[in-house]
Amino acid sequence: MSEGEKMTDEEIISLVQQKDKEKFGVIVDRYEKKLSRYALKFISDANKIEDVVQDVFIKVYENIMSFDTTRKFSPWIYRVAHNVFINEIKRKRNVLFYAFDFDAILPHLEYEDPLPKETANSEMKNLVEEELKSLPEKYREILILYYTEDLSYKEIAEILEVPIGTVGIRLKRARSILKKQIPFDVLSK
Amino acid sequence: MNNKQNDLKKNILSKIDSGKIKMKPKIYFTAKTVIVLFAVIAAVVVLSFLVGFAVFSIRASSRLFLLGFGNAGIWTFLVTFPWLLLVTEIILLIFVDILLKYFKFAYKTPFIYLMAGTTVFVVLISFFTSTIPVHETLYQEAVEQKIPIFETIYKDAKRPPEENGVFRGVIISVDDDAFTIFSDDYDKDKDDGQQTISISKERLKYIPPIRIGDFAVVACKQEKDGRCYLYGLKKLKSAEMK
Repeated sequence: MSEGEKMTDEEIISLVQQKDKEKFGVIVDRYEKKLSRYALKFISDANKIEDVVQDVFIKVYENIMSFDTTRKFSPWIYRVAHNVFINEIKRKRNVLFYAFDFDAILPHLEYEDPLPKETANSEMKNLVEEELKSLPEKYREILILYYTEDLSYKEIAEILEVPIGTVGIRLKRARSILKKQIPFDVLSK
Repeated sequence: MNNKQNDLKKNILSKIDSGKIKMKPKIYFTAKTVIVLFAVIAAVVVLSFLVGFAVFSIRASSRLFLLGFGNAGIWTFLVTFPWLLLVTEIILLIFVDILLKYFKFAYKTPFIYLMAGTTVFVVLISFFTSTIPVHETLYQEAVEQKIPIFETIYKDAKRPPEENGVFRGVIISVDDDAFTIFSDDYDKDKDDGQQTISISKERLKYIPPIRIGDFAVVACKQEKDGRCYLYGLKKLKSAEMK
C-alpha cells in the first residue's frame, strides 16, 4: 500500500493545496467510480458520464483552496458533483431543475438517522437501484446518496445544502413512493 | 474500467501539469465571501432604509390615524398603502436570504425561519434608526432641494392623501353641519388650500367638539351631492402638524 493510499482524503487535499499536484491522482482514484455511479443516476447517456465526471474533478481542483481540511471531504466533493450534474441536466433540458425547493422552506421535525440499521439491508439497496428510474429526480438523488453511497443525513444535508429535517422528510416521501412499487415487507425490514 | 480510470487520471493530471487547469487562489474565495457579505450588508441597509421610510411616510402623512376611523378609514389606509414599496421590500428580503444561503449557517436553516430572522433584524434596525431623525433630516434636505436623488422620494412623504379625502390642517370656520379646514403642510405648494367638510347628523354625536384654530386630521368621503362627508377626525397638537 502506497503512502498516499494510507492517508485520509483530508490529508491528501491538504498536500494538494500545498501544490503537491500528483496527490490529486489519489483523489481521482478514490472517487472516480463513486462519482460515475452517482452520475449514472442523473445522466442517461453513458457516453457522457466520463466527460461529466472529468468536469467534476476539474471543478474540484480549481476550487480546492476553498475546502477547509478540518471538515470531511466526501460531502464536499459530492456537493461539487451535484452542482455539475444539475448544470448538465439544466443545459440539456433547458429547464430549472428544482430551483425552488419547497421542502427546504418549511421546518420539518428532525428524523433520526437510522443509517447503520438500514444500509445493512442489502435487499433494500438493490431494490432502490432497480426502482430508481421511476422516481422524480429529487427523490432519486437522495436515495442514491443514502442507500448507494451510504452517506448520513448530515452529509446529505451538506451536499444538497438543505436543512437535515428536509433530508428526513424527502427520504420519507421517497420511501412512501417506493412502497407503492416494492412489497411492503421488504421496505419495513 | 481500470484502464478507463487510469486514462481519466492521466488526462486530468496532464491538464494540471500543462496549466490548462489551475487552482483558484485562496484570495479569490476570500474576496468572494467578502463581496457576498458586503452585498448582504448593503441590501440590509437599503431594506432597513426603505422600511424606515415607509413607516416615516405613513406616520408623517397622518395615514396611520386612518386606522382609528372605522371601516372607511381602514379601507382608505389600504388603498393609500405604499404597496409598491412593500413589494420592493419583500423582493429585497428574499434577495438577502438567497445571498445568505452562501453561508453554511443559512442553508441549514429552513427558509421560513431565515426570512423571519431577517425580518426581525431589519425591523429592529429600522426601529433603532427611527429613534434618530434620519428621515426627517433627509426630508428637510429634499424640501430644500439639497439632495436631488431624495427629492423625488421625499417630496410627498408628509402629504396626506388628499385625493382620497384625507386632509390635515387648521380649522378656520365651523358651522352646524360643516367646517372648513385649511391644509398647510408647510411646503407652500399647490396642495395648500381650503376644504369644506360636511358632517352628517348621525356622525355629529361621535366627533369631538371642534373650534376655530384647532389642528386636526380629517377624512371624508365624496358623496353624490358633491359634498365630502366626514367619517373620521383626530385633533392634533401643533407640533404634530410639522
